[in-house]
Amino acid sequence: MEDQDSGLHDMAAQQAAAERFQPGLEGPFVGEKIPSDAITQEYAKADPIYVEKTIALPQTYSHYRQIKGDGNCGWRAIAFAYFEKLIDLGDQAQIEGEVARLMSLGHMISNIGGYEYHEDFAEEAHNLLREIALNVANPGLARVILLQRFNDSGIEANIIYYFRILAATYLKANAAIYDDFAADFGGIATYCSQAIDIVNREIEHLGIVGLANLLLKPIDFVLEIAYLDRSPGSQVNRYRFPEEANQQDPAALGPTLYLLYRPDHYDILYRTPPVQAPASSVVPVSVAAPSGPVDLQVNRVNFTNNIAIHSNPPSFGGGGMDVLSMLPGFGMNALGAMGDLGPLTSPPAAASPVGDPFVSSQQSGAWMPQYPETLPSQVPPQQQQQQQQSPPASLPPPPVVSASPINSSTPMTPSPTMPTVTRSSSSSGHLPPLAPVPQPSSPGYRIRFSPVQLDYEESKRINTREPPYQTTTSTTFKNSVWNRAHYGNPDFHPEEYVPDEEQDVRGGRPKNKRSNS
Amino acid sequence: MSTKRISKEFAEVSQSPPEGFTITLPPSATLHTWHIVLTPPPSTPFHPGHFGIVLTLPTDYPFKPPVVKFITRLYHPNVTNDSLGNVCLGILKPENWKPSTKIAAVLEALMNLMIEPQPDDPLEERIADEYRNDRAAWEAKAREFVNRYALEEPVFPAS
Repeated sequence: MEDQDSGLHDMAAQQAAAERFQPGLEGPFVGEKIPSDAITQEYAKADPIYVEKTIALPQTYSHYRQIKGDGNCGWRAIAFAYFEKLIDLGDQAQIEGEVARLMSLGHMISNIGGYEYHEDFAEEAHNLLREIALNVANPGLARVILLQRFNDSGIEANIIYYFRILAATYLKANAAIYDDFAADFGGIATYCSQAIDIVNREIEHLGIVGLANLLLKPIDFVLEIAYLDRSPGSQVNRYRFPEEANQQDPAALGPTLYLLYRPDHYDILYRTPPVQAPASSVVPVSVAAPSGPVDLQVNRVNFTNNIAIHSNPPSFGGGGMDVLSMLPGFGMNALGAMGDLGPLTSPPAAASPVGDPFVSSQQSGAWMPQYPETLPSQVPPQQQQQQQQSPPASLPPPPVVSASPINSSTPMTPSPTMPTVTRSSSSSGHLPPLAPVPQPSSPGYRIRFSPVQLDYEESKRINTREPPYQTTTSTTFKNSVWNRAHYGNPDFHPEEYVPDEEQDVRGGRPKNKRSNS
Repeated sequence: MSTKRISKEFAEVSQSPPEGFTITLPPSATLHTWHIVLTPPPSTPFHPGHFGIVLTLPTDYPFKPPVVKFITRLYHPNVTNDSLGNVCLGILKPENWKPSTKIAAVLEALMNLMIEPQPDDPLEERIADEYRNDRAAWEAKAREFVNRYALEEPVFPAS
């Protein structure tokens, strides 16, 4: 071998290396279950269709599990999800029944499937089932066992191959139906031999059909695949196996395994549990939230009307965050409740409601750097520049500033503020009267995500050009998103060689640059 | 795990070896290395040679194919004409390999290759051309190789 390689031309050697290259081989065969927000983040910079679909994805499927993309991922995903679903159901008798049922398929596998030594492949799968059955009373342990077996190459290879020959056996047993589907191959038997029997050959539709019918259907399991691709639409397309499950009411379906398909790759998805459905319908609050900022502005206008807030413009320039801290107009709500105690006692009380929003504004401070340009769009351009120069630093003062107008306003107009509070709460959904203080701010910042991005696109186009791009690539701000050479910059443009700079055509700046570097 | 499968296969193959083969395990038997002697039928120019073959089973067998090498030199389009004795066998290519393939089937394919070389999928272009265009010359050289290298019992390297 070595001799031959050394004799090869460079190109040939490279080609050989390219052929040996196998992508996606890092990481475990089956990963941990993690929140599917990770997928959203992964696609945040992809094209809009992916962005939209992946933003919607976590609302339906809260978690996912990464599967190694070595050509077995579809088989591996179905196999793992099958075992895991049996653990979820926690029925020891059912799992033992599965062992018996699968063992009874042995004759079919050798006679119809024509597979030699299938017992060896089958044994690992059956052993794992037995092991799970033994430990099903302790689902945590059973899951650990499952994950461990699937990450043991000696074991998982057998299980996956067993699933392959199960699928192929079903297809061969129903050759009359499936021959036509494999006409390109000259029949289903050839298809199985060329597309299913080969190690590391990815699953295709027929393989899924075979597994769904032989493995899943008899125990009333359904397989649902979410296709994340570039096809038009705001959500992933879904398809269920067996086919008739597509027409049935999802609520009437049996236990369902969920897979995520991205071209050439499968991962496991987990549906948001129905128990949390109310909790996840809070997410719509975040959808309704876009109205949040709007309401806030309404509140602010009310304030300026009711109270002569001269301090408003400065607090504004202080970083838009005080829009949120004004939000505490809700704080006035709390004050309103306490307000009867009298204006003099209220200041300490006022301090705490205002303090709460302040906390929330700090939270939002965390995301400020990410979407700094969102705020400017709501603010006159001049102030905008100020903000951009010192967004986080300016956060603390505004609440303090706004605290006094609120305090002074409390005695004056407790009642007029009440309607605005109720209005905003009604528009943003089912917020209980007292909840508003924390609520609007935290969903508010989730909410801001999309609409703000719109604003941000716009502001970027209209007027925020100058400040960010003055620093094209300076050493000092190398790691700042304001630097156009930073990958986080919306107008990202890598540093490049400009001959002019060498000739000092552009005056002093190139010199500076050189002295900096 | 794979040793179970391998010992099963070895038991089958050594009980009823395919015609023309004798199979032994080397003294320090690890089951993963088989010593095979192939005796091609008289219809071929390789008769009456005895060809030594080392069959190595990878640790992840049967999910990776066995590796087959001739230790006896032969003049054949599908076997490298050197001391390495690499063989080009379709069913052993990674993209074709099926874990359910028996080693007996691999031996059968080897025998077929001796009876009928595959010049369209050669390891030795020159020998393949000769096989296609000047069969008599090829046969003469193949016999010459047999006389030179293959008349005695093959001596397996101590691995």
